[in-house]
Amino acid sequence: MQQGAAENVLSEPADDAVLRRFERFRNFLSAFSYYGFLLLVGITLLLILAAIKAKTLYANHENQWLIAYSVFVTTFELTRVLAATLYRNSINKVMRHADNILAARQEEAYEPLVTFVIPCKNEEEAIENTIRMCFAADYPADKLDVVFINDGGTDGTEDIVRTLKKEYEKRLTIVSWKVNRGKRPGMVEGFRRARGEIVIQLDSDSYIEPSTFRNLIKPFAHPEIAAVCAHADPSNADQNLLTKMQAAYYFMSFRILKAAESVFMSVFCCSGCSSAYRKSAVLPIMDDWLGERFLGQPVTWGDDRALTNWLIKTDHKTIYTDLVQAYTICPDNLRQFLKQQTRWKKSWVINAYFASKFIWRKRPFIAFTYFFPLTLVSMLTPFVAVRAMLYSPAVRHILPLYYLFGALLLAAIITVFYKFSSRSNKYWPYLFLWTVFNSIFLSFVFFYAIATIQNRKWVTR
Amino acid sequence: MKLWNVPSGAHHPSYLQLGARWLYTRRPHGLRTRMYVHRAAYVALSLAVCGLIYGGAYWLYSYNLDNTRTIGNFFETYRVRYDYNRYIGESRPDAVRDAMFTDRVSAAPMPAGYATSVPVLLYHRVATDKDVYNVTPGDFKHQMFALKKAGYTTVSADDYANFIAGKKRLPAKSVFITFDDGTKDSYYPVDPVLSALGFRATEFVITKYNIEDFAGSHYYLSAIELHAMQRSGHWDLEPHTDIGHSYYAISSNGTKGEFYPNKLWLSASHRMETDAEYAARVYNDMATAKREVEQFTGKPATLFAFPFADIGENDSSNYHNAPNVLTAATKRLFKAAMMLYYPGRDRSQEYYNSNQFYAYRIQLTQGLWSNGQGLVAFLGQGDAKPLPYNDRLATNSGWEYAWGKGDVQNGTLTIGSSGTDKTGAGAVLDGSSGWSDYTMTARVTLNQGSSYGLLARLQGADYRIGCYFGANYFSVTRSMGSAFTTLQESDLDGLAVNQPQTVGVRMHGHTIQCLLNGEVLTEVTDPAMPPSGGIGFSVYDATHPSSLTIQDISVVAS
Repeated sequence: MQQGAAENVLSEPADDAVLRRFERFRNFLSAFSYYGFLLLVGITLLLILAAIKAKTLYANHENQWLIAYSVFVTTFELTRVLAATLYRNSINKVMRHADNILAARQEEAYEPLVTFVIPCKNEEEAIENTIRMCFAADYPADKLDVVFINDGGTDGTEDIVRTLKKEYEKRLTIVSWKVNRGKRPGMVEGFRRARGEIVIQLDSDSYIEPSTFRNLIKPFAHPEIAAVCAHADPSNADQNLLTKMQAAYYFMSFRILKAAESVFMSVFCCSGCSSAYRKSAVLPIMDDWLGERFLGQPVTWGDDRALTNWLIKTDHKTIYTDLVQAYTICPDNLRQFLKQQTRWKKSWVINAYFASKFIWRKRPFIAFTYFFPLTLVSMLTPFVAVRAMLYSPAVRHILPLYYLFGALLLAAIITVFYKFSSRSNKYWPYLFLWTVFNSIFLSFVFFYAIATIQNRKWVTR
Repeated sequence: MKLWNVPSGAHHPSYLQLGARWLYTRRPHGLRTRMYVHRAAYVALSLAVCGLIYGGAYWLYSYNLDNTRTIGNFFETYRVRYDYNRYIGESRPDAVRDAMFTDRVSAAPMPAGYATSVPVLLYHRVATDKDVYNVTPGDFKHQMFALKKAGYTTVSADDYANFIAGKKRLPAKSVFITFDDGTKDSYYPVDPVLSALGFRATEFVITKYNIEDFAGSHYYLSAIELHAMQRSGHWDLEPHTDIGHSYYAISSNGTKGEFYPNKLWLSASHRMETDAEYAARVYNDMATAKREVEQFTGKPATLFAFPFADIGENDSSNYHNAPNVLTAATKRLFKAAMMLYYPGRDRSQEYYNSNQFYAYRIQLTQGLWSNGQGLVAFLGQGDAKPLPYNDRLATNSGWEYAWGKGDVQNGTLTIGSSGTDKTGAGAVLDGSSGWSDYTMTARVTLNQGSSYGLLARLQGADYRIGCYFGANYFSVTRSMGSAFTTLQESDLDGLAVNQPQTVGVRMHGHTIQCLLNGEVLTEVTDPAMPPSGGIGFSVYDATHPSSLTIQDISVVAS
């Protein structure tokens, strides 16, 4: 008996180890089966894609332009996904080399002064949380401050911030404008007043997960990098169908499109909701950026895209990092959503025009493998969509089933990559819904945006 | 950038070594280097993946248009193999094993020797919709199974042409399978069956629809599908027509008719075609079809199939000389042309070295020989019959009825007038057309009617000669085309009607002898007589129903 008891005592930790090992093995297996399954699905989808392309060749052999378009769009989307597969390696290298650079400079950690700039108007509900989240960042308190700009707000936002001022004292600066001047002047004011070397542009309803904050700053150890865009997800994703769809869209747009751009260090839009800029890079171009005019009128929206454009134009690198988690609020009703989309489309058109003037000189590789194809796809897609969704059903009595199937197939391929990148993100089914929605609605939004491009009002919120 | 240091005078390292050294050298990567690496990776990945996808797409596209059916047929081939193995009686596991792991299905051992004659089969569409020219996929499969099981092999178009010309021997039990019109339904349901059984077939294509109108139709095969057929290795493509498969105005009042046997109405000049215009038009159509098929396949087209198998022979034409013009034109361009077999022709197969220009194809129609057994039996009957030939008439060994009706039962062949043929009937023995010098005798009873005949030297509609017996006369009458000539006629008293008579004919060269009870009644020599031909019987009465029974047919070479 004694011997048995002794054995028991001895064997307990051993059993534990075996169990742990078994657990690990099981995790490994499950991971393998998960990714193996995804891989199989991906290969199957590519095979179906090949079959569909063959069918396109057959069905439209008399319409070579349609074939060209179909091949072009597919290639474009595929190469986006392929470029995005290189992203993990790319961002890892950026972070590791930042360490190397610090080691070379014999610095312990890279901790420059950081300033949050929050321009806003009438945001009394969100503002307290936003500012508190800024100060909660995992960063030395003495190296972090906030500039709040009340851009002609009329509600109690400023009072709330003044209350917070008592708590944070000198670390919180309040700029109070009685007249609404717009987002760009607000941001410029923020850059001018910022004490920090790194300026973080934050929307009033956005915040950065404090524990991931350092990852936003670290890439700046590379002197070439002038802007870092954080990964943003809607914090109100579960609210309704529209927000769920947008959650899927945000994930795709950040983790695939921006990630693909980031592999080549040229993110074209460091989104306004949560991006960090190097002040020394922004200051020289600030006046140009502020004074930008399109067709004789100042450009109200698209400040983020325009600023990133200017940074690329002045030979800076811009990246996206999924190591920083930011949250923002997305429109929860169709009206606001369409207004936002209209604004984004307008901004895209105008900035694509500006970028096309220099990009082929500054970044020829990106220009011809990505930027101009993107421009072409974006310009053509609405027309093809109208042809498939309206013209063909009405005139040729052909339902757009085939068109939608092609779009859904591409969405499925993107979804496979989506699930590769984030196993836990649960919004992927809504990507299909988004695709259908996109095909039906957003093409028309494009035409609407072009038609009303001279209307420079902000129109949401 | 200097990649390596080579001391002067030192041995120069290999480029492989240099490459490895470059790869493994630790160097402070800037973002720029990383960007270049990523660009290269991006370009390589994109080229690889897009290349695979578009390469695959083009492969599918160039192989076939109807991907789903093509992919389906890949699996269908295995299913057909399995079905066939079950059909020939293998157990289920064996059938699965053989279908999966053997290239060819097993068949009855190939019969020894060479074929004297080859049957030619004609199919149109293999489909289920109600159309007399459609054979259902199930029937087609069973017909092919039955052929395979009976040991048949299939022949190519060129082999057929060479066989007819006496330039190539074919194995005994060869069959030439043809499809007309180049429809999708003559390819997709057929291909896996051919593929599984190791059979081949010939498709007669309408070049306008199949080649010129690129993929323009859901009914006709496209050029790309024809390419797939060619590549499959078990299809031959031959011309059917170019634009001649449609109906055109053939008279001033706008009546529409077939392209080939008719002169067309020229509405612009308000007149009918002249002879020369007609001849030029039909020749041009054949020549165009031939040229396009040859350009497509890259080899000479040897065979031609007339649209609707009609050259205007049976008063179906508004131009009496059409058959001659068409035959002349076809002979200038092709080695053989395809027509239709009709019951009562002296042979259902085409013979080695016969130089028979028109192949009379056995047409498979809806519901005919559903399980394939009838087809095999019919083809067996059509085989050239050796002499001596004694027919006890227990089963039908090849009697076909040219007109009237007939039946083989209980040792008796009965022929007689029918509802449609009120004047009489005729029976012809399939497979007898190779006989040249022989004596044929039979016990014959004229039950009803005015006369009966023993026919010999049957050569389709071209020639036949016979000894005709009536109540008080007998005659030797020859028929060439539609011209009947009585060569000799004599009174013959005492031919008992309703009493069995032993009558016969003896053929020798150009000579025919009529026999009654073993005695020679007469002897006639006709220089126009072909050296060989089939045998048959006929019965006739101009006004009343007629009926003849025949027993104990015996043919002995002499």
